[in-house]
Amino acid sequence: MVSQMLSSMQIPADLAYQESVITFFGQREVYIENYRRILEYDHGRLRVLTRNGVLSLEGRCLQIRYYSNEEMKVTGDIQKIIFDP
Amino acid sequence: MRRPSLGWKGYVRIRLISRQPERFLNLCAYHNVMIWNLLSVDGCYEMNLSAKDVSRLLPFCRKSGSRIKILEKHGMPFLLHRSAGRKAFFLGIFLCCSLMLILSSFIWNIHVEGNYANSTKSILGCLSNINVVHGIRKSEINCQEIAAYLREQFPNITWVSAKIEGTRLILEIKENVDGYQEVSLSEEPTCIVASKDGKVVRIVTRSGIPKVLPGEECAKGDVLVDGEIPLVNDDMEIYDYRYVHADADIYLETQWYYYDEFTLSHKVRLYQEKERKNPFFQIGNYRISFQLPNHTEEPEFYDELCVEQQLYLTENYALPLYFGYLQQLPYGVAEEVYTKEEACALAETHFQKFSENLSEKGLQISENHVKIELTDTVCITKGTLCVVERAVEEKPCEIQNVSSGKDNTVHEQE
Repeated sequence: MVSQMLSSMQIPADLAYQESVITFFGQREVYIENYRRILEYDHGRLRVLTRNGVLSLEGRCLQIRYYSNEEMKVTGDIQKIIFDP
Repeated sequence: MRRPSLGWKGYVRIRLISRQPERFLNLCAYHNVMIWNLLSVDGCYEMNLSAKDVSRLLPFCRKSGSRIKILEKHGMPFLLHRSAGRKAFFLGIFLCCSLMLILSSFIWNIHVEGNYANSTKSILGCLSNINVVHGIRKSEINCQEIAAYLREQFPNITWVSAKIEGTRLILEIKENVDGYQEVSLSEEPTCIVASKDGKVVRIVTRSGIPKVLPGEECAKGDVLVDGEIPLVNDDMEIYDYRYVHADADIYLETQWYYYDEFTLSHKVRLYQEKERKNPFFQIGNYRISFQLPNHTEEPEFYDELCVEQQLYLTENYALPLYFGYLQQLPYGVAEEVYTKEEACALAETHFQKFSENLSEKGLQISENHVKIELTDTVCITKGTLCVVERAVEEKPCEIQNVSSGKDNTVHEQE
């Protein structure tokens, strides 16, 4: 019922459900929007909490170019993406 | 989101040593502390943040049990702090800005474009007469006056635009490219007389009475076109004269004598390869030469070639500074004799140059009786030439009195 109403109002899904938006540029760059907080970070692994679960990025030389309360940009050699509900 | 440019406000790079680094990072994000270039290094974390946010980190450190260490400081606040004791540094900046401000109120480049017939040098020279020179204050320049002055001084300039851009005075010029110039006709009564003896080849009269026909001979001083027009009554008696400014195209065939002589033996220069260059630097009229060490003897005969270049501050602003080099081209002298063919060729070359000079002046050779004569020692080229030229000149008319007490000059409107 709610989803039908939201789709009829043409509200984007990321706004309607507060879902995370993850944008990749190959293996070297990723933008994460609508995340909640950082759970774990080192140069080989980054785990962030989203509304629907935990997003894990694994790779090498991972660097957070910038981050704010809503979005972050991560660069490095990204090898694996895991969604844990 | 883009990393802000914090060059003016300053930013620092810190190292975070913490057991709960994620908590520290989340606290920063929650309180809108901007962090960029976050990197995990040897179990610690290094990141950039703005200088003013550093003081806000203390509560986060307390909550997360972290310690921070400032690694690098960047930006203007830190530079000023470091340079607080350096008075000369700030004095230099102040002087630089002042100098820029003062210099920007002068004209340092006068740029002329669109000029083909008039050289840039002549235009700048003309402008210097009204004190428009490089280094003049901008406030002393009136662009409209400059444009009007240039149009007045150069009749073939049809349009001038003068404008100031920065420290440049830009003059855009359009010239009269078809070369037409209005000739002011004199109203003074004159007649046309021959300036040389000759034969009339062609005569086209526009004003006045022609006195000769094509093919007729005339002597120097003969009237060819008369500016005195007799006015006759019904009985064909002259009752008055009308005087006009005689105007006609008259070509006379005149005789010229050509003579050229040169000796067959002559000296030739045999240039040697031992060139010597001496660089110099010149300030105004004072030249400083740098004599390079040379162990060879001073040559007896040599040409000296001076290659000089002036320094320009801007496009047309020349400084009185020159540099270049003096090159000595030594040569030996040998005596040689022209062969018959060489002498003839040289004589023909001389005559060819003479003919070209005549053509440039608008004269045309109609007959050529020049011959080359060779003796044992000299080559003589001589003979007569028939040249078609405008050998005429104007002469004031003699006013005749037909009836006394009356002005004889009858104007055209009468």
